[in-house]
Amino acid sequence: MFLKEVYRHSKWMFAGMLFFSLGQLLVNYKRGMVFSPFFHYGMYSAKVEPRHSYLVNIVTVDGDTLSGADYTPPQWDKIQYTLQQVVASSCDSLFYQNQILRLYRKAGLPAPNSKYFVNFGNRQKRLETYKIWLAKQLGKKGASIKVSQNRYVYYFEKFVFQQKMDTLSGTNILCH
Amino acid sequence: MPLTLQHRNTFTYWWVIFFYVLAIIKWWQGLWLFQFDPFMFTTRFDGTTWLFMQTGLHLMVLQSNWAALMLDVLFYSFPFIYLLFYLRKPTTAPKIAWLWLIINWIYVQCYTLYPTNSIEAHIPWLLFPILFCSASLKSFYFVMQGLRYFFLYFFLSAGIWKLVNGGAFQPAQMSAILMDQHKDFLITSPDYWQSKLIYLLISMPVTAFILYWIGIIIELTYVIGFFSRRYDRLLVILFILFLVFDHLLMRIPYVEVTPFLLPLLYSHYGMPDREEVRVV
Repeated sequence: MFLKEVYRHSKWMFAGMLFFSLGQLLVNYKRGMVFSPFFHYGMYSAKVEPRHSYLVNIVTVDGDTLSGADYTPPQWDKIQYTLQQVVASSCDSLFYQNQILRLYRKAGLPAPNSKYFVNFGNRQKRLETYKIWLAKQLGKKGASIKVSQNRYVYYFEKFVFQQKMDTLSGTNILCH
Repeated sequence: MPLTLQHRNTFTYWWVIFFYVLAIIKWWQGLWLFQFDPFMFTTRFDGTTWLFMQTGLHLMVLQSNWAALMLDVLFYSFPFIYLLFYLRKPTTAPKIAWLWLIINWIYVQCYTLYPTNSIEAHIPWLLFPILFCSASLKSFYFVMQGLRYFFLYFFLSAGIWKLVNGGAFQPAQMSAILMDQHKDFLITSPDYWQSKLIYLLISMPVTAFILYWIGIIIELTYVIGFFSRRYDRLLVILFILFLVFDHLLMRIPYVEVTPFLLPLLYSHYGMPDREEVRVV
C-alpha cells in the first residue's frame, strides 16, 4: 500500500499526506466552506433546469455591441464576468456580516476589519470604474462605454429579446 | 524500471516548459496580473483566503499596478530561478523550492481574488513546488505519486459529485447548463460557428445529456488509477479529450491543470533502487 511505503520512507511525509487526504475528505463531507488547498470539485453537478427567461448584460463601445466571438473565452469572461461581479458587488457587506463575522465569532477569533472584505465605494462608482477599466483593456481610452441589461427568452431554438431593464440587477454567491 | 535522476531531470524540464508555454498563452490573452489591472476583488467562501486577505496585499494590488507587476515578476521568474539552482547548485535547489512555494501561494491567493480566476484551476501552482522541495530521489518519487493520487481524486470526485448532487439524473441538465453558461455569448454572436454548435446541442437535449454523461464516465474512469498504474496513458488521453471538449462546448480552457499529466506519464517508473541526492 502506497501510504505504508511512504510511512517507511519518512514519517513527516506520511503525516503530511495523511493530513492532506483527511482535509480533502472533510471538506467534501462538510460540503460548505473550503480551506484552500482543500476544495470540493463539484462543478456543474447541481441540478440545473432551463429557466423561463435570462438576464444578460450588454456592453456597447462607441455604439457597437461587444461580441463574444471577437474574444478568446478568458478575454470574454474578463469583460462579462467582471461586469457581473460589479453588478452583484452590493452583496459584499451582506457576506461580511452574515458569513465572515459569524464564522469568526464561532471560531472565537477577533472580528476582522471590513475593509479587507468589502470593496470600497458603492456599486455605481464601481460601474463607472469598470467602464474606464474596460476602455483601457480594449485599448480604447476615452471611448464611450454603455452597459445595459436585457431580458431574453429561449424561443424556437434561439434567444429572443423580450425587455430592456430599467436598472442592472444580479446576484452572485455572496448574496446568499 | 526504477525512477532515476535522469527521469527527475526530464520531469523538471517538462514541468518548466509547461509553465512557460502557459505563461506565454496567458500573456497573449492579457491574463497576467498587471495586464488584468484589477479594480475590485471578490471574496470567496474560503477560510484560508480570509486569513490571507487580512494581510491587505490584495488591496495594495488594487491601489498600484506596480504591486501587480512585482507579483508577476516573482511568480513567472521562480521556475527559471529554481531550474538554474537545480542545474548548478542542486543542494540549494530544495531551499529555493520552499521559497517558490511561498511565492506561488501568495500569488495564487491574490490572483484568484479578482474576477474570473478560479482558485481550483490553479491548484498545480499551489502543490507542485512541494515536489521540487524533495532533496532525495525517493522523496521526489513519493511526492510525485502523491500528486498523481490527488489528480485521480480531483477527477473522480468531480464525477461522483455529479451523481450525488443529481445533475446526472436531470435529463435537461446539459441543455440548461449550455444556456446558462453561454447566454451572453450566444446573444452577442449568434452567427458564429461555435454559437451554432451550442444552439444545436441546446435544441437536442438528449444528445447534450449523452455528452454530459460521457464526461461523467471519463471522470469516473479515473477510479482505475487507484488500483493500477497500467492504464495511466489511457487516463492522459481521456483527460486531453476532456480538455478539448471542455474548450469546444463549455468555452472553459482548463489548461492550467495540464501539469498534472506529468505524474501520470512518469508513474510507470518504480521506486528508486538507491538514494541519489546530487542532480548533475
